[in-house]
Amino acid sequence: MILLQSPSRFLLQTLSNRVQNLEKGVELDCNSVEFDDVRYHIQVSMRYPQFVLLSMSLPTPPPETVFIGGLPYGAIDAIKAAYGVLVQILDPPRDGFNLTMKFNLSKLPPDEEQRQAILVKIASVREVVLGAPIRLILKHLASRTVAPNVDRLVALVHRPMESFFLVPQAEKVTVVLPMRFKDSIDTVLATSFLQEFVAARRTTGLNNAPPCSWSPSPPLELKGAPAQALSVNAGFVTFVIFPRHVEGKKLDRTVWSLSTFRAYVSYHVKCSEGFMHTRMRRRVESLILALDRAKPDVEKSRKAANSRSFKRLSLKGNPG
Amino acid sequence: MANTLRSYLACIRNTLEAAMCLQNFPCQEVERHNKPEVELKTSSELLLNPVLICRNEAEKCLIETSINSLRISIKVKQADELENILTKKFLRFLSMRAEAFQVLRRKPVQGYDISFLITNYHCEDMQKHKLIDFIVQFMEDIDKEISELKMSVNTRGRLVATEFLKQFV
Amino acid sequence: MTAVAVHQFAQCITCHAWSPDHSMVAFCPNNNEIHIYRSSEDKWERVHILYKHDQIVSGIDWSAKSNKLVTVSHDRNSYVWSQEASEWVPTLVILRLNRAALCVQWSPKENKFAVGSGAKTVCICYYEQENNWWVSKLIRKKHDSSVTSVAWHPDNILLATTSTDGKCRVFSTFIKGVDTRDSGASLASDAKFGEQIIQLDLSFSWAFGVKWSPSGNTLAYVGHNSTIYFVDDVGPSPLAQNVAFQDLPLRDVLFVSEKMVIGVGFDCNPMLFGADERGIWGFVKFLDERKIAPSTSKYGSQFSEAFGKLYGQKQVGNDAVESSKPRGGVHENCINCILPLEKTGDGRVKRFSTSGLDGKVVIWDLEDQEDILSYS
Repeated sequence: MILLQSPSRFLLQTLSNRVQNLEKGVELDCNSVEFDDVRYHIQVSMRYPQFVLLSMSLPTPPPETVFIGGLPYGAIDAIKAAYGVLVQILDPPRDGFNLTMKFNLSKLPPDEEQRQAILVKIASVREVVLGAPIRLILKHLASRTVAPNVDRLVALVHRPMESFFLVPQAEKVTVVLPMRFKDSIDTVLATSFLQEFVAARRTTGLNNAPPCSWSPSPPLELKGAPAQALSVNAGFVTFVIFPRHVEGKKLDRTVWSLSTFRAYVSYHVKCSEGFMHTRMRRRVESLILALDRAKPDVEKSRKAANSRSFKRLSLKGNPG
Repeated sequence: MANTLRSYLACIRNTLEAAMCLQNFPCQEVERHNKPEVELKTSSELLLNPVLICRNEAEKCLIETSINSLRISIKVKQADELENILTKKFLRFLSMRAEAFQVLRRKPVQGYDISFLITNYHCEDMQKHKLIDFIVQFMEDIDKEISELKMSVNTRGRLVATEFLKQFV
Repeated sequence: MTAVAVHQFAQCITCHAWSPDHSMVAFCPNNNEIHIYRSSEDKWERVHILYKHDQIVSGIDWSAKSNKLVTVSHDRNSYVWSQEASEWVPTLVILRLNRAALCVQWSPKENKFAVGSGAKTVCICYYEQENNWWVSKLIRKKHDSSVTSVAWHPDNILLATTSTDGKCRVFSTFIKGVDTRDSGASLASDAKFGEQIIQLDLSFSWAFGVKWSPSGNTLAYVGHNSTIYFVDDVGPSPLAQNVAFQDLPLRDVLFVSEKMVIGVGFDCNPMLFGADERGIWGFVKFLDERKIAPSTSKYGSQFSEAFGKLYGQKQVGNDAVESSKPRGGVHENCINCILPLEKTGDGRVKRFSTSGLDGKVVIWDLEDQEDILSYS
């Protein structure tokens, strides 16, 4: 898997399982944690097997991001738009979560394919909720307008206490992602990866991809952003999104890719390290073998010694 | 570039050939002791002049010889931060297997990335020319390994970037 | 090939010595034991293991007339072993050393033996009949570092030493009641015990392997800087010659005749040195023919061409540096001991033996070496 997938495998499997055994009443109470501190809780009771209570906890937003009632701007509308009659938002949400939704599985469409599509959509709740504000802005870009009441610089949460920034304009949206990593090895690998994004964009096949740049210091677009948002160790990545990148079906992909960019890079950094470890372990073993070769093989040397006895030692005789 | 590496390694090999003339030699300072003099450094007359072989400013090899032991310290080329990190990681892996590399010194000599300590006992157990082969192979391998690892990081980075950007096209 | 017999006795041999009739060999297999092998029928058979030392045995000498073994060890002790019936009975010699003993040699008359030590001293041991023990008399404060080798002059009084301070020295070991004045050569005639006759400061590196020529006129020793030194007229005005060679340093030497010396060491191949009719010493040849294919080295090494040939550089792959090759000789590791075996009627050494870290004892024959004859 190279690209991160939007639907949560945990949610999709749990839901599919539920839908297939709808008549069977079961007690279900599961927790799952995903990247960037997104947590899910899924609950089904014996008495109402057709109802699924899905709670979601989001990464703690830094102060510069706009959260309304514990949710990103536009999230409630996005949920309603995505799930329609299936969903009912519970207020207040379950303790310790930002959002609790009640899905009525009996209202799922009878058609197998449609039903599967809905389940995938529910499993992609992360994209719906966290991606709501960026989707709103990119949707306006598709129609070459700027959403009303939008600041020059919009901060969106993508990790606990970390945000990325959008500069919405009618013809383009500039996305700036400050990159931070904990481990020094991660930082170095990520930095080299990010430079590859810039280089890759220049190749012929990707002429139409969003222009991409990387700089160790904050780009001009971030003027006015809070200081803590600007302290990074792996530089800043900037993508310029044009209307062609958000046309029609491309919008969903773009929303997901941009809001999980940091996780995507981090995932590949970790894969790279795993690969390096395997390789280094193998190399170390081969070096040990090289050193072992320096030790004369006892069995072999004994044989060689035997075959090399030239003549019987006959030293008795008159000395002097 | 390959040629400068070759003459650098050839010079190290020849120096080791000459330096690795070690013998069992008991300690003059402490009764009933027999310790590598290159580590003790208590009798200056038992030490030879150290030899420093430099390929360039960043890559060098220090060979310190005494009557019963010799120490080879290597500074590996680290052109950028990525090479630096890869070198450190690789050497950490090696030191974790220090007991398998009898000749690996647990701690490198200050200013170097890795040190080997070869005593007369190693020369008794192992064939000298193969021991030298090992050191030279090690130096070749570590360079090769670092550049291959670096290449693999870059290749992966390029693939990751390309796949990501393709989504928008 | 002048090696006539090779025997792998152990993994590693530190030193060896032959019984008077050469039917037995004693050696230390790089530990605290002394193994004695006897040649019987067509094989060597281990007949004794002498355990007494508790650290590595660094020196063994077997007296030719009295059939006594003397051994020294890093444990600071020395034992004189005499054969009683089928057993070897040790007598502890109190050397009065506080550091390791490194080398030992019986004096020509076998009434004394000398021990070099890591305490920068030399012990001269002699037997006291009335007390029935060996007494050790020390030559102290003369060496600035460990004494690596000792050699008796045929006069039984003069003793040459080499040390890791780089110097070679000659001392008088005259002991009242043991030695008689008239027995000595002119040099030692009135020198007291422990008096230094001469100090030779020729080498700038460690000195090893000192020996006197059969007549006692010439002294040879080696320096770790790949040089062998020959000193004539040892006394107030010595004549010294240095012969530097391109190969690895030597560890020990043996006079084959007045004008011929064999050196052994880290190159694993005995080297022959000879003096021409003018008395000028030089390197003659290696005794072991090397089984190495001609070198196909493409680029010059830092070392001389001769060195390149010795190591038979070979190219492996594209970027690989040539790998070192085994020397392909009889000995596969450093030779650290050389002893005379048979002699011809005129006192020239005809056969000699070498032992080394490869655990082999090799017998060499010089008889059919026509090119050597000119040096005899």
